[in-house]
Amino acid sequence: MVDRVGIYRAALAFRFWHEWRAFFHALGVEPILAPATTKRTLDTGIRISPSELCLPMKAAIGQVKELADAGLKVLLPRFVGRRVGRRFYFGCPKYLGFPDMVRALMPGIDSCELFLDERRWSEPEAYGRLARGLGAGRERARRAVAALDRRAECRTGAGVHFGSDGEPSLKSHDHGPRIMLVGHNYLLFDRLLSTGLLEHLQKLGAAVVMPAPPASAALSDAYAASELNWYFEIELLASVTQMLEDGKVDGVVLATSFACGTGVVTCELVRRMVLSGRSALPLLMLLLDEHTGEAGLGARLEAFLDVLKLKRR
Amino acid sequence: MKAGFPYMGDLQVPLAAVVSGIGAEVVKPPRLDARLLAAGARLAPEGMCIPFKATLGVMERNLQLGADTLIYSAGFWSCRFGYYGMLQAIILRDLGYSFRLFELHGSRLPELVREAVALSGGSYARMAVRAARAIRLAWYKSAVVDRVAERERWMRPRVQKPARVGAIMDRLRRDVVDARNVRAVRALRARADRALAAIPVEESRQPLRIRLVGESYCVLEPFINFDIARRLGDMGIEVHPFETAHEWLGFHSSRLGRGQIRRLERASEPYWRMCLGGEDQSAMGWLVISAREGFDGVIHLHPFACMPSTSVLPVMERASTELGIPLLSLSLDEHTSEAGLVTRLEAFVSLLERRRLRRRSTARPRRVAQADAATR
Repeated sequence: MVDRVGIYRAALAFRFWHEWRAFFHALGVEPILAPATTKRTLDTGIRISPSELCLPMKAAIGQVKELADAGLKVLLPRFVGRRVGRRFYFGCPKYLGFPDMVRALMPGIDSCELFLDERRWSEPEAYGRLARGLGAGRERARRAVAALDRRAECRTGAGVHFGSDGEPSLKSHDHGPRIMLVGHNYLLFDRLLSTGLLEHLQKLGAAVVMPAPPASAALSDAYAASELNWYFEIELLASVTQMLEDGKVDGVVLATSFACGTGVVTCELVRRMVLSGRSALPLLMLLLDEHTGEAGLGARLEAFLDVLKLKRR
Repeated sequence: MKAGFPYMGDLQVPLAAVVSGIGAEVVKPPRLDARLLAAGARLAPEGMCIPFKATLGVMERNLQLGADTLIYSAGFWSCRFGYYGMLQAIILRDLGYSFRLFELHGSRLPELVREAVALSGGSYARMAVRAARAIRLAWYKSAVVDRVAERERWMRPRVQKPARVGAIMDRLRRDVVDARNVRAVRALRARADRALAAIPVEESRQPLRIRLVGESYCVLEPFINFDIARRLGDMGIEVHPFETAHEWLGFHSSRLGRGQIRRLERASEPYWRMCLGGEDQSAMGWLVISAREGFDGVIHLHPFACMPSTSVLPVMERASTELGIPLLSLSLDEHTSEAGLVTRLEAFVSLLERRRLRRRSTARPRRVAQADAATR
């Protein structure tokens, strides 16, 4: 059995890291998390991935490549979807095909697959398969599965922090305009991919708040009522709805990466939610890609904050 | 009820026949053109895929022409296609249009039946007869257009003046929409067949064969793909689209061709393990099958930034190298230029021609060598 497994950081790790860390430790395998995205990693990803892929996926491919080059067996998760109530909700289509894409781009890569599809088998069962695939005995696999942290907050991925390796984080602010920052965690908490958006806003004196998923009952209702079928997007929309209802927000910054297919739909829905009705809020939409410049972004954020301050007076 | 629906190649023909057959009025929008596409692109979120922008432009035109009901196909899947109806309804209502959104989905079937009964003056029996007749006529029309279009694709590379073939097809397409019954459609078909039979064909010619795969809308809608099937035909290529509007209808209305799906799953299995919700698995499967069937090349058409197609692309490229079948991938959006596309097509075709020549010239010496070995 291998003693170390490489885990890429972009995208899914932002939700599953707690679960994966506990699982691999119980299995006696050291999970090696890819370091925070660097320009070099992203360039590696951009060079080998198809040009129309979204930014986080290009970063993910760069990280997988670097982990594999370092001689590690790489974990390739395939997140198909989850059941909530009676319906099945899909993840992003790119998650569904990710392992196949990686194997085509890096033939012969040493990898193991975590196949999460609640239509086929339960998630603990999927982990059990992974453990056995890694060569663990039945007893050890059982213990590893039992170690999975299945608390609700882990399931929603609200509290994932990778530790102190210089990733941006939310700081509490009492003064300054309250800005609701909406977007995918894996974009906003990655300094390189988001061009330092979060820190920029905080440096400019904004009190940044990010919508958190509502309590589980309200969340289940949101799933049942939604016309969408995307697991993560419904959660994001429900979080935004709740925060807008609570009020106490002066402006909204909506960030998505270029060529993010689900993000286009979510942003359109959030945009209409924010701008509709009597309580329309100032809104800034940002489309981030590898060509986004920090100076240009900074200027737009400053201008947006000026508008908010004027409005407050 | 005055109904409008999105434009997708020849799918118009059977849809109009069904809707008007059950007694509703059908809005006939002009064919998709640059103006409608630009209107749709202006209204749509920037990052949406081209089928969304094109259909949005058509739907707005439908409303301007007086439609009060918009019909969409819908699916709860992971691809954005399933949400077209919902999103376009939000956008169009915001512009001040009022209409009813009708998504063709299993869950809406009771409503559909109720509506049809109302259109037949409340008589269930009358509705059933009318619906059966309408569906039969629609299916027949669609099948006729499909057959003749197939003949057109076969003839184009083998005739002196392909434009004559095209004119016959266009006339059939135009006239079949107004045909009132099966007999009239049959007469139209006979007329088209006679006209086609009068054109001299070079039967012995063996043109290059290219299969078109990819996202359905991009393959089926000639305006979006710059009429690629005809263009290739005129360049002397025999074109085989992976599906036609008729087959699309057969699959999505009554699950015809499910055996085909299993065949595609098996063919794509070594490279692509599951369908992401678009035509990714089908494109992969058709690539493998085309290589087995000895096709000269495969062209993959997809909307720019389409999630399933973008994901499968690197895998198809790998498979194309391993299987030795040339692959050209074309990404389409409202900014795609005709000249750029034509240049790429020409380059691809000349690559295929050279490849065939090289194969022939290397094949002969080998055969000679084998013959030598046999006589020795």
